[in-house]
Amino acid sequence: MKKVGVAAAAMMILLAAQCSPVMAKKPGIIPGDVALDRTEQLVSEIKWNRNLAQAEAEAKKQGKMIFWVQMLGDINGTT
Amino acid sequence: MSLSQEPAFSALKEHFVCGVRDITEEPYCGLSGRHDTGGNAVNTTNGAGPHNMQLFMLAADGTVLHCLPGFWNANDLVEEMKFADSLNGVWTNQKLSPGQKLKQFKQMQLAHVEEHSPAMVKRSKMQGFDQKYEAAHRWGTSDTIADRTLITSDMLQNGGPKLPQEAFKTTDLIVHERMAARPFVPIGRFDTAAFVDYGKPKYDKHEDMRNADGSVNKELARSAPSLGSQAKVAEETMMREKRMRRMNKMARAKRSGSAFTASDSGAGTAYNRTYYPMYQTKSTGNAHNTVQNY
Repeated sequence: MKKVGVAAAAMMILLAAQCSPVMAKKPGIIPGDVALDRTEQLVSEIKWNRNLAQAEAEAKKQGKMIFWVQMLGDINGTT
Repeated sequence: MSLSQEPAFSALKEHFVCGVRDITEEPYCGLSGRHDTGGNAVNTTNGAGPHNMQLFMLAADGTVLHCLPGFWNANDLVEEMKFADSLNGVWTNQKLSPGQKLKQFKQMQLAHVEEHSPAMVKRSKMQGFDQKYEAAHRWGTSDTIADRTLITSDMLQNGGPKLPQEAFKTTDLIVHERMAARPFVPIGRFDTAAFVDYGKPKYDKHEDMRNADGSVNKELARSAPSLGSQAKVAEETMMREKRMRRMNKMARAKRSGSAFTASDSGAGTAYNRTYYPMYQTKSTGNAHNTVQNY
């Protein structure tokens, strides 16, 4: 049991060391490359209507609700 | 942005038709630090940055079922999506009269607060600078303050005691209370400006201006560009330059060993302008006083 505990602790230390300093100390920060991947997935796998009337027409047709985002900047660019 | 995080991402794909609008030039839109594609992002507290982002959940005819201003944790967002779905059931129920629908909307909005998990409530603490802004500018009227007697003027001065968390409502409660006053409003008539009006208009976590230990690099942050309406950015730039000139003047005075007065630093001016109004002016942003729909 003791050996398993020591091995687990060593593994934790190794993992922590592999993380960037920012990630290790501030888990709230998402590094730029990860954020970029997520944004690309968000805009490529979901169709984002720019026109509300069009979104309403699609929602009625598909029997869905509308998720309408109002934001400072562009969902696919600078925010 | 939490929209790309699970379980929110799958919920969006499966249950919603999505849309987006840039509100940079809207009068209610705030300011933010500029973040280019590929820059760092940050998970923050629920409801942070309400002026800069609004997440609307609408019925297929454009009726507002729910709205979350600012950032929201992906798990909490999905709980609110489910809640919007139950409101959609009320809105589309042919057996209910318009009066019954309105009544149910209000009741459900207020009741849902009780269903929030302790973890969600913990994630919904208003940002300290937003609390300070509300206390300083709207002490007498803000619907974000839970107990005014817990706030004293010395708490609003730099270096003063911290504002107690118990003096303020959490953002998850503020949102449901404000929504309860706006039952089934078409999005075109939704008073977004009043709905999102709490806290500072500028929101920036300086994600790209961090030191290796994750703390904000204040030197870099001071010169960081802003994003927002051109008029507001120009005003912000002017204020920043004025602040820099004042700081340079202070530094020069310190180096030369000359006396430096409060009026040179602008401290007296700031104190009068920023902190006394809480006892003198009326709020312009209390959501419940400005609802004009329905």
